This record gives sequence, C-alpha cells and structure tokens, in this order.
Amino acid sequence: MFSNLSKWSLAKATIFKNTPIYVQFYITARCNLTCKQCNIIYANSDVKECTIEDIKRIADNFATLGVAIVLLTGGEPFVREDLPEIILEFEKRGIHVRMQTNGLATEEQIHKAVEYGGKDISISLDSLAANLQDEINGGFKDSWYETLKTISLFTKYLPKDKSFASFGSVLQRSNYKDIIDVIKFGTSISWFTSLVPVHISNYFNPMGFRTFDKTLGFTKEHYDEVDDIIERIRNMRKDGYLLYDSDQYLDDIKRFVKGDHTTWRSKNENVCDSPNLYFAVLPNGEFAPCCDHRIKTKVFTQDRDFPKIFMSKSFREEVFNKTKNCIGCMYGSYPEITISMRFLQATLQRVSTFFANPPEKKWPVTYEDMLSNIDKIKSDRKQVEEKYSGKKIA
Amino acid sequence: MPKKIKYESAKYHILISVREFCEKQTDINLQEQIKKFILTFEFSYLGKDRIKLTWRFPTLGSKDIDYSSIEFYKKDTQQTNSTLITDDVYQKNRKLFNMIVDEIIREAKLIT
Repeated sequence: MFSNLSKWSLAKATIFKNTPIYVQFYITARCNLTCKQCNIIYANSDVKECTIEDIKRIADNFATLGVAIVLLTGGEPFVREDLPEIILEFEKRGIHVRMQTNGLATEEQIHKAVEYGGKDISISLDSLAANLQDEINGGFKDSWYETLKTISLFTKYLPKDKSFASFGSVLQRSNYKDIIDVIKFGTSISWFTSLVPVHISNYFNPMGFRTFDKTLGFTKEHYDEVDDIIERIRNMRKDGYLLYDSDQYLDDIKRFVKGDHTTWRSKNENVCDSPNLYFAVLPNGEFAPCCDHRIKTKVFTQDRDFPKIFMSKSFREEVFNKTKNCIGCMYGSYPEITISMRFLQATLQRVSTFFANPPEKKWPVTYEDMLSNIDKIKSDRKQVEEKYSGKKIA
Repeated sequence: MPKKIKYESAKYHILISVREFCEKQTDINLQEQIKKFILTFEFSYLGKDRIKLTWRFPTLGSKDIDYSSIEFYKKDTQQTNSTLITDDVYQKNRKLFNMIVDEIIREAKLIT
C-alpha cells in the first residue's frame, strides 16, 4: 500500500526521529455536520482555502521533506469538489493519502476519490444507535443511515488488496457504552476502529479542536466503567477484533479521561514530536504544529522555500516554544506515531497487527447486510446484559 | 438542533483575540484580571451576525457584537504564482477581531 518513498521515510523516521512522516491537512473548514465534540470547523473558519495550484506546491514540498502519509481532513474533505485532484497530486508523488470523512459523500464522489488513488479511508462512527449518532452529529436526522450507506460504498469501490478502512470513534459521556459494539461491527466488515477521547477546554484556553461543552466529558462516577470498557477492548483485540490502538495508547486514554498525565511524551521530556515527526496544515496552506495550536509567524507550506524554512533554527525554536507549553493531547495519530517510534513494544505490536495478520476482506458489504449485522450485535448485547443483570431490557 | 456555524466561529475567534490581548500585557496582575474576566463570559445569539457577550467580572457588563464584516469559510480563487504567500482574508479578519476585543476591553473598563 505504501510507495518506496513512504517506506524509506518511515524507516528513516524510526531511526532518526527527524522526518515529518505524517501531516494532517485541513483542506477545508466547511462541513455539512456540526458534531458536538468538534471545534475545528470554527477554529479554521477565519482563513481562506488554498487552490489546487497551491496544493501542487505543497505536495512538491512534502515529497522533498519525506512526508509519507498525508491525512486529508476538514471540515468535511468531500465538500471540496477538487478532492480527487488533491488526492492525485499527493499520490503521484508517492505520498500515501488517508481520507477522513463524516460519511456524507455521494457514490460518484467515493468512486472518483478511489479512482484517483485514495485507498485509505477513516469514517467517523461513534455509535450503532441511529438516534444517538444523529444527536452527536449535531442533530442531523438520518445522518447515521447515510454514513452506513457510505461505508457500504467504500467496500464496493476500495480494492480488497492494498487498502485500509477504519472507523474513528470519539469516546464521550453519551457513547462510551456503545464503543464495544462499534468495534464488533467494524470487525464484521473488516474495518479497524480507532478511539479518541473527547477533548474539552475552557474559554481562557481556546484550542483548535477542543469543544467547550463540559457535558460531553467524564466525571468521577464514570472512571471505573471507562477503565473496564478499555480493558474489555484490549482483550477483544487478543481475540481477533480489529482495533487500531496500541496498549500504551489505551492506557493513556484511561489516564487522559481522569485528567492524569499521559505517558506517550515521556521519552521526549513531555513534549510531542511536532514538527519532527508530524504537523498540521490549515486550509490556507499555513503550517501549524497540530490541530490545537498555531504559531505567530505565518509559514506557508506552498512557499517554495518551505523545506528550507522547515529546517531552520528560528522556525524550530518557535514551534518548540509552543509545544513545550502544551498540556498534551490524545488525538490518535500524533500519540500513536510517537509511541510507535519511541517505544519498542508498541512498534512490534503495530507490525504484528498490520503485517503478520492482515484481515481478510469480505467485500463488498451491502447496506442491508450491514443493518442486519448491527441488529445481531445489538441483540447479542441485550442478551448478555439481561443475563448479568437478571432484568429484562426493553 | 444543529449549531450555528458562523456564530460559533465568531465566538471562538473572539476568545482567541482576547487571549492574545491578555498575553501581550506585561503586568501579571492585569493578566490575572483578564483571565478572571474571560472565565465569566457568556455568549448568546442575537440573530444574523450578532452576538451578545456578557461578563460578570470585574463588574457585570455586556456588549452586543456585530460580526457581519468578518469573512468566514472563504475559498481562494486566484491562481497565485508568487513565492511571497499571504492570506488577505486572515489578515483582515484578525484586524476586525482585534477591534472587537478593544471595544470589549474598553466596555469592561479593564484598562483605564
């Protein structure tokens, strides 16, 4: 699935920890949902979207720097009509594209995105309960059903070989009991699941991705139950369920939920690896250390001098001044890359997950078959809950 | 009920600008006062492109804010070939948000 350039960059990054192998590119702030846990569509609304010409230069610069993977995200990336061309510009330079979507894409868009080289998809799915997912999505009726149709379409158009599909699930107060079902569903259709705990901030510390809605977060009475669910999830992986997250990352989720210090930055004096291993790009092409922070100096990744600026001491110092004061995050890819590059056990776990036992993909999966899978998963859960509680569940 | 996208965007960027204003202050006591001030903020939607911001520190106060001049979610349609890259939308928005924050600070009488 990876080009030689990507493989070479990944190998270099593992040894020297100084190649930006992963970039989150927020190609638009526009979105057709207003998910409760997401703030980035508001945070990135103040800049203009760059053109496809800018993106060609960005792709050139990324290839020069050795970027292996670019995540095309938003907002909703599929609202950009030129998404297939954007995918192509990166893929033809040997940069692996991962697409992230809320699941509201048309069949034509999906077909074209795959045709232009997009073979790696992450779709937001937080629950198997339609009403709850619609509520999390901001109150958009039937958005859950639309997402399922999109998932089905990806199983139709993605090649079985050399493709990767996953769900991104945000663990929050309203859905944490549903996460196990999401993983079961994902596994039933050969999709991985990756978890991100909800991130919340306050008005004095506005941060790009973090919501201000405290009601989404966990309180003391949830901690034991969250711990229990994380342990069950960990055990599910041993039983063959498709979970993307490493053990260390799962342990850090437990800590993060309680407001305790996480461990993933511990081998780098509690500073993350931006920009050495990863960074973010705003819709206008501007460099950002990550989705939460911006730096004062405007550095544009489409600037022909960007690779030179990226290596300069003054630029590195400015980014470090931002990252060294950061309270830390659990945004999936950033911690997981640091963990994979700095903790041997996690590296081995990742290798065995993806290379030793690739899941057999029984694709395509129809929308109707998905609904029937989901009904079975829900019915099994009800039976288990009734067995242990001794009560009939409606 | 879906969130109002422009209203939420305006809220966020007002908070960013107030925070930046706070960071620029050299007096630590004043910084603390501004922090307390921000943490009492309450926003309410007044209709198209208008926000009411209420605060409870240093005294109860409020300000109606018109953000109709801010340009959100703009696309770049120009084919730029220059190596000097700027974002005119961002720069214009930043100036407007800073002006809004100056008015809020004056109204709250945080700086005499």
